[in-house]
Order: sequence, then structure tokens, then C-alpha cells
Amino acid sequence: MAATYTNTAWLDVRICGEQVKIEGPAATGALKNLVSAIVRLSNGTSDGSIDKAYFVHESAKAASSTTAYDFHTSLTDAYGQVCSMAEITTIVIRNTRTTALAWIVLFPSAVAPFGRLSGSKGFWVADIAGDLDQGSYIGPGGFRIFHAPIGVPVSNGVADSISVTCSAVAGDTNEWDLLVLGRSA
Amino acid sequence: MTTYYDSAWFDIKVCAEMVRTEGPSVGHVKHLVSELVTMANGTADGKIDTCYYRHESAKAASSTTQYDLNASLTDAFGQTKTFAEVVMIAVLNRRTTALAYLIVGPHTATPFGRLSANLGFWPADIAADNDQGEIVGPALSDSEPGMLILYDPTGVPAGAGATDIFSVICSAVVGATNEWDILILGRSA
Repeated sequence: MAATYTNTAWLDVRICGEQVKIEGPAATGALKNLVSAIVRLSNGTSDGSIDKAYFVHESAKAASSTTAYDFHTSLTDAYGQVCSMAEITTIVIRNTRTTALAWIVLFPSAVAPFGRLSGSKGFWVADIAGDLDQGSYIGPGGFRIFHAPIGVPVSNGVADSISVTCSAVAGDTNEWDLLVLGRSA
Repeated sequence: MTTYYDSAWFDIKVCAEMVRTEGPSVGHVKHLVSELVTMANGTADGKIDTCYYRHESAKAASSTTQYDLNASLTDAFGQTKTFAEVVMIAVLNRRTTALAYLIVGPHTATPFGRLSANLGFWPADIAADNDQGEIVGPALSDSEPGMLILYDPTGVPAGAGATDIFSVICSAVVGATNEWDILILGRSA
């Protein structure tokens, strides 16, 4: 019997800002500003579902180096299966280097850039002047989460690649986690 | 005497589950990215003392909403919130209309968040053409919002009158029904 693979995912996001008002010796007011979303992405290719998942922990990356991710052909998942995505719903990237100012930047690759706004879908704005100033800077210890339930299209050879470039801070010790969820169709 | 005491926490988990089925042989892989952080009241790295939340609604197509981190934001207690550093911005797009995205990015005037001295959420503007920013797609349902979460524990500086405004721009999709939740956490010094 041929192997089959069933990918699903979930997100549990809770962020709470708490404010307390104190008058004299007593707290007289308290606010909890809670932003919350708990989302289950079942297996499938319709909106609200996923059937592809890719995770990598990168490490020992050199200063100023660039690592590219081609969502159409070059990624393999934990089972060794080629992880070819037609739409991406979620990108989570976490900079796990702690050296001061050692940022990483996630951006549409110069060649076949994925994720620029097109057809009202994208993770970054379109590149007005073709000067590659889109992207997301993630400081040391920081992270970025994108989640688009309707998905952002991947176009083979045209809009299928993102890159991560490391800062010039000395040391081949840049590292990050990257988790990408998407659909094969 | 009245004082205000802001703090925050977040608990974020994103998990991909991969099941392999091959006759009687079954494999199961979970990729979990998880962050559980408490930020006590204070102005040192790892802390916050300034919190701003708002649910925006009835925003027009193509409208721009500015968030001036230095002067214009007031909290639920009526206090002006002044951020010297921002550690987190969370925007949840609550509109469910197809293709009704939001752009979150540095405002054209006194743009906050562009990379400077190795701190920032967005790139410097190479050609001064204001094409930084990130897209938050529409919600699929009330419980499935489009989400964008930016977090930098070091903090991104907000320079008063120089680099203190970011904006949320609505798509041109017809209807004054754009709405989103926004939460900003940061420090006053």
C-alpha cells in the first residue's frame, strides 16, 4: 500500500495587555485587552484548510548571508516529500539568535518574488520602483506571524520564492525557525 | 493620586501536524512553534509599560488610519499613550469580504518602524517611494481573522515628530465596513 500523507494545523494566539488604575492604596480599575484567535486548519485545499506544511530550524548562518526558499520545488518536509505549494496561508518566522542588533529580514526574493500584492492578495506591498524595499525585519528574539485564511498564490517560476538575509553583525551564529502552511491547489 | 500600571503577556502556538499512513505503519510529526512570554511593568528590555488597544470599524474603502505613537492615542482610561519603543503590534482583520485586505506600514509623514541603527520592523525606503508595509488579508469568518503579529523584544524606537506614525490603509474593495483589532505594546522610555 502506498504511503499517504495527511497534513493539518492549528493556531492558538492570545495576546493580552493588562492595565490597572490605582488611586491611593487601592486598584480602582482594571482592563484586560485580549486579542485572541484559535483556528483549526483541517486537511484540504479549500479556504480555511491546508494540506502542506514545511518547517525548518536554520542555524550557523553567516553574517550577511541569504537563504532562499522556493515554495514550488525545493522544499522537502519531515517525511522527505517535496512540499510544493500553490497557496500559502501562514508564515511564522522566529529569530532565535540573541546577539544585540542581529536582525534577519524576510522578503520576496529578487528572482521570482513570492508574496507581493497582486490580485489583492499578498503578504507585502507591491514593489513600486523595483528596488527591493519590501520585507519584514525581525530583531533578535523576535518573531513575525502572517496568517491569510484565503491564501496567497504561489506561481511557479514567477512568484514562488522568499529569502531570509542576515544582518552584518559578526558571527556565523544566525539561526531561525521557519514554519510555512499552505495548500497544494 | 492616580497611577496606571500596564503589563502584558502572550501565549502563541502554531502547530503543523503531519500524519503518514502506510498500511499498518503510521508516523506522526508535530512541528510546534510556541512562545509564552510575560512582560512585567517597566521600561527595560523584556518589559512594557504602555499598552494600546482599539477595535476599529466602519472604515471606508481606501481610507488611511494613522497611529501616532507619540501623541494621539488614548486608552480606555482616557490616558494619552506615548511610546518611546514598540515591542509588539498585532492587527487582526475582521472584515470577511473577499480581497478586502489591510496594509500595515510606516506612514508617509514621520514614518515609524523603518530600519535605522539596526532597529525596525520594515526596510528603509531605498527610493523614498513608500512601498514598505505588510498585508493582512480578510477574515474567512468571525473566528478566522487575517492576522499580522510583529514582535521585537528589544523594541523599535518611536522618535517624536520624526519616526512616530504608522498607518493602516484599507483596500479599495467597496463598502465602509472595514474593521480590525489592533493591539500595541511598548515602553514609555
